[in-house]
Amino acid sequence: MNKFIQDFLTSAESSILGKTKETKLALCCFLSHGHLLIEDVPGMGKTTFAKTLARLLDLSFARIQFTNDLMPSDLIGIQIFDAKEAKFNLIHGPVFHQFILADELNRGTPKTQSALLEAMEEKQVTLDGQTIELPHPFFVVATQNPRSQIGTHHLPESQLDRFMMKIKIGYPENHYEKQIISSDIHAENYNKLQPVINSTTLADLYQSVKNITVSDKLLDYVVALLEQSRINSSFQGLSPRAGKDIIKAAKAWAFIHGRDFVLPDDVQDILPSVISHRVAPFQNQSFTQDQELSQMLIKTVKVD
Amino acid sequence: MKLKFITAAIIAINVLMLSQDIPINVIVFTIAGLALSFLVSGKKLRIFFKIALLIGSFVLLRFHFKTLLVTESAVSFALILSSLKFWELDEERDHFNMFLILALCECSVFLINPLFFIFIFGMAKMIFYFYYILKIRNYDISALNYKRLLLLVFPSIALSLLLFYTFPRFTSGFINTSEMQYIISGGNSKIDFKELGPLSLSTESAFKVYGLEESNLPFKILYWRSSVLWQMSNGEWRSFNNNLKEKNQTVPLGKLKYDIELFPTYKEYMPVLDGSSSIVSASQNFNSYSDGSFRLKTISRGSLTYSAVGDYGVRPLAFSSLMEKKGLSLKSERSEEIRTNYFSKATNSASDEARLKELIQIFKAKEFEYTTAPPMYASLEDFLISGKGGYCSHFAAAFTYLARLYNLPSRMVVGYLGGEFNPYDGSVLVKEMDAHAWVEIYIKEKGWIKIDPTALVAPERITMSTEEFNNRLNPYITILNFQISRDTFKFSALNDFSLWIDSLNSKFNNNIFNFDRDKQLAVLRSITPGKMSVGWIFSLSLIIFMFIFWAIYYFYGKSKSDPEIKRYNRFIKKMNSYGLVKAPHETISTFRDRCLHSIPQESNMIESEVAHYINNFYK
Amino acid sequence: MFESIKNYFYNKISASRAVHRTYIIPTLDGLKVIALNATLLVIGLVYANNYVLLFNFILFCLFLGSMFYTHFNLSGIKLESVQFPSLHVNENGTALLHFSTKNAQGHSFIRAYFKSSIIEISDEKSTFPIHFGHSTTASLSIKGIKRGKEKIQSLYIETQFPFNFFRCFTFFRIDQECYTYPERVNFNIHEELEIVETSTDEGDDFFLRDYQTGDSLKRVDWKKLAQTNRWYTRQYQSAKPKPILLVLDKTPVEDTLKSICFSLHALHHQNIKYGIKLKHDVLISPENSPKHLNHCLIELARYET
Repeated sequence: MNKFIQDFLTSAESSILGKTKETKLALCCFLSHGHLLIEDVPGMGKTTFAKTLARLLDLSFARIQFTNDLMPSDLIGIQIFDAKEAKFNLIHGPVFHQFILADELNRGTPKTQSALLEAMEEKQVTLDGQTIELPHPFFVVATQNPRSQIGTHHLPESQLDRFMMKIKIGYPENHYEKQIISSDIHAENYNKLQPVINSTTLADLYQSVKNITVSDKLLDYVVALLEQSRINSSFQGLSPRAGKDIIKAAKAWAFIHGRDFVLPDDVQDILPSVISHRVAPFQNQSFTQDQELSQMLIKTVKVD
Repeated sequence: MKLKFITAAIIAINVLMLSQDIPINVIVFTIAGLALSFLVSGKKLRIFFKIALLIGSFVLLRFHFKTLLVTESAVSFALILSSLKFWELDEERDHFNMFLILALCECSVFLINPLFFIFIFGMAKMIFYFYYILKIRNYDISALNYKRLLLLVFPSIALSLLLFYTFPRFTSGFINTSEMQYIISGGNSKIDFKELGPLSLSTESAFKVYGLEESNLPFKILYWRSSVLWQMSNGEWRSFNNNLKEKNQTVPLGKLKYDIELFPTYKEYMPVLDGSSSIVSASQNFNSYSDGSFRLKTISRGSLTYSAVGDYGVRPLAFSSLMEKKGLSLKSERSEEIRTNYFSKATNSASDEARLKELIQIFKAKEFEYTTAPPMYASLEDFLISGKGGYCSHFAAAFTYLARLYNLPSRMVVGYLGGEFNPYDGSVLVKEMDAHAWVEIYIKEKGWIKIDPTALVAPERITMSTEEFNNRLNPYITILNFQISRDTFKFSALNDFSLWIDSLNSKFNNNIFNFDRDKQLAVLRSITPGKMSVGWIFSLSLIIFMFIFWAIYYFYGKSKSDPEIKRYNRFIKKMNSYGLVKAPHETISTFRDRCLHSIPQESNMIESEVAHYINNFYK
Repeated sequence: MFESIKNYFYNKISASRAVHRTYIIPTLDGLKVIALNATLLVIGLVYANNYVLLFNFILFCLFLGSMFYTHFNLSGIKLESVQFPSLHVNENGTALLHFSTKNAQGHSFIRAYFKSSIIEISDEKSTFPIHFGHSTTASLSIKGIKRGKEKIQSLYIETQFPFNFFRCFTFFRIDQECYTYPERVNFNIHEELEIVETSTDEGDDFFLRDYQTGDSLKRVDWKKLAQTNRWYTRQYQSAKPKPILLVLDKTPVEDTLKSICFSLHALHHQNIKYGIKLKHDVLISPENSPKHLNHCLIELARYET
């Protein structure tokens, strides 16, 4: 396993107790240039989780709290007329940071949501006819309350597709929960965290992930998964973009586990997170049901 | 529309091929059927015309029935039927029915013209037609990929040959056609040179054709035992008088092939050779007899090709007193008249040889002329006294007469002279026009010697074949008052090609067409152990071939598996034997972990196998 | 040892039982060929003509060979899944059939069909190929003919390739529930019952959609009309339009069902909540989602007069 990855995971462990898999998934998403959506009920540590990630990655960080009255211009920025110099100045919004935490994304209005999602997809924003490139790397972690909660605008499927992964933090295990509620040690740990991965190592990591081998047989397996999702009427068919994301995430996952080739196990590990928000046929399905669907998909496809 | 055109073309070809053997009325009906289908439109009118044509054809066939064989009636009906079916070629089903009727027509062509290339041509026509039917069915012909097509066609042809050779032939035929009346409608009574008739026929009528009847002859013609075609020396046939088409050609000891015109009145034929001979094959089915003659199973008109081999080592019997008596017998009332006419100045020397020389001089002095169109002579004596023009049989008969009169035992021989050597199958093709007659005379010092009186009269006739001689007499072919030289029709390449086709044809005749019950039994007995009945062999070979067919497709359809995949499958099987079954969705690594957990003692093997697999497929 | 051999054979036999059965019978063309063969055999024997016999045998062997070929063309096919779309009467749809094959050479000119009183196949003659190596999707264009619900029990596939002498067929149990919804016709005869009245057409939170007859004039975007000379309606996000209940109470039941069906689709596209009430039997409360539309349509399909 790569030294940086090792450091990253151990440091994260000190702040987020017992959530190694989720941390790995988040890192995997990050390494494969994707964006992450965290969905869970309030109080599960979504924000802490995201903040920890931001702290460990040496990137410029911005946090946007989505509310009903948040407007796109609050996000992207605005042109202000400078009377002294008699010209427009561009005031950059929070979207021009490398690591963005979009808190409670589904409480924003669709208009604002779309502005962010557009930026995520294009990696650039357009302001008054002027196209401005976003910094690289650009990583968005959005948190979201479950859809059933009041006062939320849930994201349409087409926009959900732009998130590479959707994960759930979940309740901690008993002995971890005991630690969490008994002391504030993890909060202290959070403050002590030092960045592990900086931009130079990051470039190396990206390069290594890119060089991971994907065999023909594995591609066949992924294609079979996609096809099955389209054939079986209990799923909503997966798009080719989903297939691309699966391969990307599986490569990063293999890299995190110190391999230079992808195994079907990698695909099976990341699959529920990558497709859970894409396969559900109707929106009013709960998260656990999504996960079950993904497992069902895995179980119906033969792998050698 | 294209298919309609093809259909019409095939029917027209059939009509052309059968045009010599079926009445002109039937042909007219068929052509009318084709033409009217294009001209008549309107449903009711079409039905009316069709019924009228059908009734008309029945009446026609009834009218012709007395003069036609059953075969020919059936052939005529099939032909008319095909032209009537031609009226309704709208759906694909109609086309298939048309195909069936055309196949029947094709078979009728085979019945009448049993020739190898007609068979091949017929097969080609049917395959072509079937191909178009498939096209109509909207099959993309390219989907019938050629590899799979070969898998269909080659075993099919092999099986059909096997079935053909093993199919039990119960009888030589259900209907005895020999008893039927056979009259050629519109037969030609005029005799020209080419239709001089088969020499190997029974004597009388053969000589009728020549203008002489054997009953009128004062002696018997010895035609069936010998020929002077070629003499054998040192195991090679050497052409007598060098009258093979290619000069100085020696013919290896091989079979002789005869190509003669068939006459409907006769069934029995003889190969003409020196020594005892037997027939090998013929383009008609035949039974052969111990004396070397053979008899056709069915009567048919047209040409007959047969090959014969002879045991040339067997020489004719030595001279006996009986033979001398027979060789000298002469029942002629006008013999004295002839004697005074010919032998008044004869010296009648003692030795046979001297007398023969004298006879030759006398014969030469008479100054006969060779012609292919002699006047009719009432008898041989008439020819001897007043005749001038004649051809070989006249001269041979006259010379025999004179020799007997002059006390030399002699006999007239009828056979062939010349021929064409076919290098492709090492045979010599002897044609009708190579027929010849000559004389054998017994001389005490030398035995039977051959004398050709025609050579005395017209030596050029003997140094070249009759065909060439005829060409020399008439060097031009007259077409619409234009005289065209015969040389313009001679292409050596074309001739070679026709020889090649001919050799192919005779091979086909030997192996396929003349394969009858006796041959089949002989072949099957020789290759099967014990006395297995033909029926058993047939059904056994059918079953075996069905199995082969199945096996071919079975192995063709199996996917070829990679050795690595085989190794993997072996590993999975081995794990199965430990009770560990890999779930379909289970990945190889999880399966490995499970295996390691339950059978730690095999860990080395499991680790290495899985690592090998992963190396091969995922790295 | 004997035990293992016994087990081996037992497994083989049970495996062969699991294999799909294929049936092969000669077609009318095939029977005609047999008749022609018999005729030619008699002719060949009677006239002792070997050419006729040989021709006959070649035809016969091609006939036999085509039997194997045809069977080969259908062997080893497995139906992975079927997907029947739900249809409206007189509307076309496509059923998707997913096949896989064990036959390494693939198959061509396969025809699929099924027996149903509510759905018919549009093009009876259409055929498709199946390739080896990956599952092949064949689409079968179908058409609704009658309103109703039916369970399609088996799916037949057959082939007559290459010479149409034999017809090889097999069937798969699919037990597929199919619904055919009523035709979509706007007779405007059913009653629309509006239940809830909530409308505050204010705020910026709207998007524009094409004007449809019946939209309130208050909601027309007049500015846009002036600019583009086209009619647009403002669709407010926060203020949902009134839910509508479609009621069946008129006598020409079939026509009313068709009309309701039409309205359901129209309402669904306009994102308006709707419910249905069919006489006293069925009542579905207003909602707007694809699932709900499906639910309503199924009720319409299975409604018995």
